[in-house]
Amino acid sequence: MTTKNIEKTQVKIGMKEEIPYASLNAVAGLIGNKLWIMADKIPEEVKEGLKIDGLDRSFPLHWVKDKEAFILEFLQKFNLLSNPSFYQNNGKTLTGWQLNTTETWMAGVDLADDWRLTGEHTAFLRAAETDLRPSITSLQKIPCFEGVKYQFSGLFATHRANGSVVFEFFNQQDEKVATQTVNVLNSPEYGGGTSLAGYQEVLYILTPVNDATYLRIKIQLEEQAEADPQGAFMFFSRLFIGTYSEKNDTQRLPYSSELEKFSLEVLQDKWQYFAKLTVPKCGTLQEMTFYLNQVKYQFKVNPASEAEQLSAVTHNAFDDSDIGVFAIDHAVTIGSEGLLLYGWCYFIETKVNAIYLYDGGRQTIDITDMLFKLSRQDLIAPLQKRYPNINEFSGFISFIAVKVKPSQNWLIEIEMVNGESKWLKVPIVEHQKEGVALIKDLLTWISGAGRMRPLLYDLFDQHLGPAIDLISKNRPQPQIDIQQRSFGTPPTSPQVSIIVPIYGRYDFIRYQLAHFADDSEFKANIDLIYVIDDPSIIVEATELAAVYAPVFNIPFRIVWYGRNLGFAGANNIGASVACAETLVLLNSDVLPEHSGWVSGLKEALENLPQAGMVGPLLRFADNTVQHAGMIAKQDERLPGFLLNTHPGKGQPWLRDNQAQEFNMLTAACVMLRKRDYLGVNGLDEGYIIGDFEDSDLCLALRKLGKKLWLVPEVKLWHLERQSQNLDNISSYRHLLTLYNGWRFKRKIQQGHIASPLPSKAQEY
Amino acid sequence: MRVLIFSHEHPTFSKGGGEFAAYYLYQGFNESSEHEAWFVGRAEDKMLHPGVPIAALNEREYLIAGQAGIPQLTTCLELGEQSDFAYMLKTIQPDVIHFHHYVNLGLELIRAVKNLCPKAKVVLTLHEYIAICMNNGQMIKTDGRLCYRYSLRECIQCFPEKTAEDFFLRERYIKSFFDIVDHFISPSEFLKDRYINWGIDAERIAVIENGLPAAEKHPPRALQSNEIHGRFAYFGQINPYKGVNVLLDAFTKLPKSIKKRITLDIFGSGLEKQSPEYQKKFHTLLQENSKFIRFHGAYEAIEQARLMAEIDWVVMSSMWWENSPLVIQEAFKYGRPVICPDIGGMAEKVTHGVNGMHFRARDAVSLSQAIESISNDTEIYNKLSSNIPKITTIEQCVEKHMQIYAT
Repeated sequence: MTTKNIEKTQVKIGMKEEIPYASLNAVAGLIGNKLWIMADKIPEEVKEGLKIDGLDRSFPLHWVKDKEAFILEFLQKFNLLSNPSFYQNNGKTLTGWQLNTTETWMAGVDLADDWRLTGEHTAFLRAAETDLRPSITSLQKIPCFEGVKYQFSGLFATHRANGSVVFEFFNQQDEKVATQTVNVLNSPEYGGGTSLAGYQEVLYILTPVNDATYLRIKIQLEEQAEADPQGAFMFFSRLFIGTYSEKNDTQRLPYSSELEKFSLEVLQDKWQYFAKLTVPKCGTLQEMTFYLNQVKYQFKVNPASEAEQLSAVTHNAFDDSDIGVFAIDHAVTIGSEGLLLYGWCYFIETKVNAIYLYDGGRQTIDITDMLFKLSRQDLIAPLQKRYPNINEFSGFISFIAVKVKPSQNWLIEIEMVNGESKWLKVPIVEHQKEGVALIKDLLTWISGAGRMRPLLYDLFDQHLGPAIDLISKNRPQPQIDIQQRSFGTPPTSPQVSIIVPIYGRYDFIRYQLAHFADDSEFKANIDLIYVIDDPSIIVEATELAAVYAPVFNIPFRIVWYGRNLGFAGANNIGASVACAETLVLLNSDVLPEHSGWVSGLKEALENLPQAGMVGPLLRFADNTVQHAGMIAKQDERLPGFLLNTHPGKGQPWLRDNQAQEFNMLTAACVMLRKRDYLGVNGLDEGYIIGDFEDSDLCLALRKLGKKLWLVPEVKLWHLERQSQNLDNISSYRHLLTLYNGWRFKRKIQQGHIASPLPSKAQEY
Repeated sequence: MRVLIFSHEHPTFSKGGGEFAAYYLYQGFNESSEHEAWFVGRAEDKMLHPGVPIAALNEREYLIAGQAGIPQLTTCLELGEQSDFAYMLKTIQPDVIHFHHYVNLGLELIRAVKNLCPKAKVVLTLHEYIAICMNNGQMIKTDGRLCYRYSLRECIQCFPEKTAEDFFLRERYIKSFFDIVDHFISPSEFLKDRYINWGIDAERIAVIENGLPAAEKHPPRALQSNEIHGRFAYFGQINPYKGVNVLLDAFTKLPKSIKKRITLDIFGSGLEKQSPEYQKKFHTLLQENSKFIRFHGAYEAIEQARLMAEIDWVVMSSMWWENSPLVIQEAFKYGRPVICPDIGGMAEKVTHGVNGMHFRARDAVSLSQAIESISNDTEIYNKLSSNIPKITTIEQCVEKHMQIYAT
């Protein structure tokens, strides 16, 4: 952690010094360049963000209530022992430790130059044959946090006796409530001396007991194993105790007194709200002053001398075989509210502490944990020679919700454990494309998605989903100019409007008309609307309609608007021009098996209990089931997503024709009331190109308490030419389906639509 | 009764069995005093006036445009109430509209005549298997094997670039028009069965053999001393589907002793349209066997009586099922037994050992054995030629059609 550039002074005004610190309702502190704030409730001044004097905007604070996560985030990797290598007082005394000995010579630092690590200090315990065993105990109270594990490590050397490290746990009343012991076994090969080779490393992971508030470390010498007039010795140094996480247990950062203050403060029960902010390290900010509950806090921030040269940083990649590689292939602004980074990186273990993103100097974002690893098998071969431990997950993508102007000079700092930093320029470009074209571009970057199946939900949840949402929100909403042409004599008061979106295959109009022509309902009762959702076929489709209208002799309309809006948009346009109070949403590749299917569905919609939507049995061309209701499934191969399954698909329909309730029906053919359709704002156009929007519509109706019925008495064929198979995720189209799936799941989680998970009654 | 007959070709310009059957029927109706008939044959655009799809040859005969190909079977004609097509129908005012075939014309004509003449009865005579099979309607797989049934999954084996859905749409589209046809007529039970198997109700299809102008049978040809009934003749197109190569193979396999006593006369056109390899092989076989195989080239219907008088047997070896081959009816008309493959419409029309002989379809060895056995049997010719059935005359054919129209 680079602390050299940031100094801190804390001045409280409006209060006298004697007013106890404990009476404050909020506190703040600075560790390195990370500012922390704790409060009993969110202070008024910072509700909209932290206003720093002299800066024209506020820094948004993200408040969390999860104390444990907050603690871990700050404390992780840091040593909580203040003097682990006995440097204080130049190693002359055991500062910070209590000696439990009869004689002062029985414990101390640096017994002799031969007995200490070169360039370091080594503490010792010693005892003659008959002496009581000596020990030392840390004076420092190391805070215990509920649910947090700790790791201890140290270098030990012994002569003729075992040693032990005892962790003593104390409660709030300073009563010892538990101990845990780890033995340091006497081993002639680890006899100490000037070289590391003479010491054994003792590692231990401990979980504090529940009511402990702090712990102390006691190191003691045990009974002498073999009688020897020279007595027994134990030497030790480089003690470490810090929070433990499985994610990164090798990296260790030194003790910081700021951190200790933080750790003591955070233990107080009154703090309920926690926020952090990374303070800009480069740029013009020299001092930050702000108020929390009218208490002034002031921290000095010396701009890094290196920062002055940062404007000269032009490279967007670095490769240093001692540290690692980092490269940005794409940095794209999304609207003005987001930045998407795509690139690759690999760092040698324990070399890099953190990665920060800086704007022109006023904002710092710690993106260390925001780089989502992507499979990049292509990188292994070229990099393996210099980085033998590199694995395929060396690509990354990261969406950062931050206001971005391409003109700003954005930088990335790779901060190493030794405090030095590497700087890179973020090659931000304002993407020329927008909307679906841009989404397609960025999904095309994702290679090897099939090798990350278990992680794909997280990838969407953390990065791609919010990015695509933003692109989708910002996509231009052009004026839609609906045009239409009627064929035949339009029905005067049709009972049902059938909406059929047409994309590409306009010849399906001909096949459908051939199947509707002999159904008397289509002569007078039905408002049949073909919605041409494909600008390239408007001429062909209307010409085909003109040729075949006199042959098939039923009234219908062709509606067009010169754009491709997708399935949802096309149906919504259709609904907006529909004449009847009842709608049928129909795919163009659905053909009825019999006449009277529309009135069959209508009767069901009017008579089945609480019916909000009805759908027929759909069969493939070979008369096996294509759709007989849909059921949501948590797919083990794509954890996180809810996929739709079609029970009985591809098998013969051998059940009776009783109506059956389902949570979801396919919109390839469904009937519902127009007021219900409009009541839930139609099909959600936020699903891109089209998956899940029909399930969404079903669940929106379910949320209103409507029931959905499969009516197998009514049968149609569905050729289903555009189904998605997620067995092999290889194209951007698959990833787009996953985006839609993620969006669907999120709407369910947020309660916008009902859950599709089946009740027992629906199990097949 | 006013009968309007649509045909996929006009026999003046195209000499297929289907168009002849249609045309004979048209002539037959007009010969009766109580009926009138009109004939509309599809023709190529260059035979029509520019800009109009209909051209009258005379008051009763029309040519009509149409390019409805086998895959789509869909028309290019305008069919609305203001169209030339509607004008023609209004002029004719038919009581019955009888389609001989739907290829070339387009399926939509069926629905259009229903719209324009709602009271008229619509009858469709089925030829070949075009609705069922996209491979020229022959129910032969594209790799040459015989096909026994319509099946989406088998169809895509023949046409790998197509999907099962393509075939399903084609089937559904055709059936949407067949659903509104009042009666179907099939010239053979075999073809009827294939359409039933494909999905048309059995009771909707009547079998009526194609009619031919009536004529007296020839007596068996008078033989010279030491001569046998060994004159075999092939009448028909020269192409691979007709299996002329099987025929040539079979005859060249015969023992020398037989070859000396028999002849094969080939009458037919179309050789020039075949591939150079096919033509070369055909000519080579002819040259090598010129002593007993003779190729005469094309013939006209008017010559048929004379040609039949000079031969003993009609032989055919089609590779596909056929429907009701005209050549079998022609042979029977003139009293000649027929040797044919044991499949489809051919096996149905010729009864083995009664009025002809069957051989294993596509098998030159089998045909060769059949020729050898009848050449060695002095009794068989008289037996078979005396059992030849009477053919259906045009008058009888008209009568049977009237019964269908009247139901």
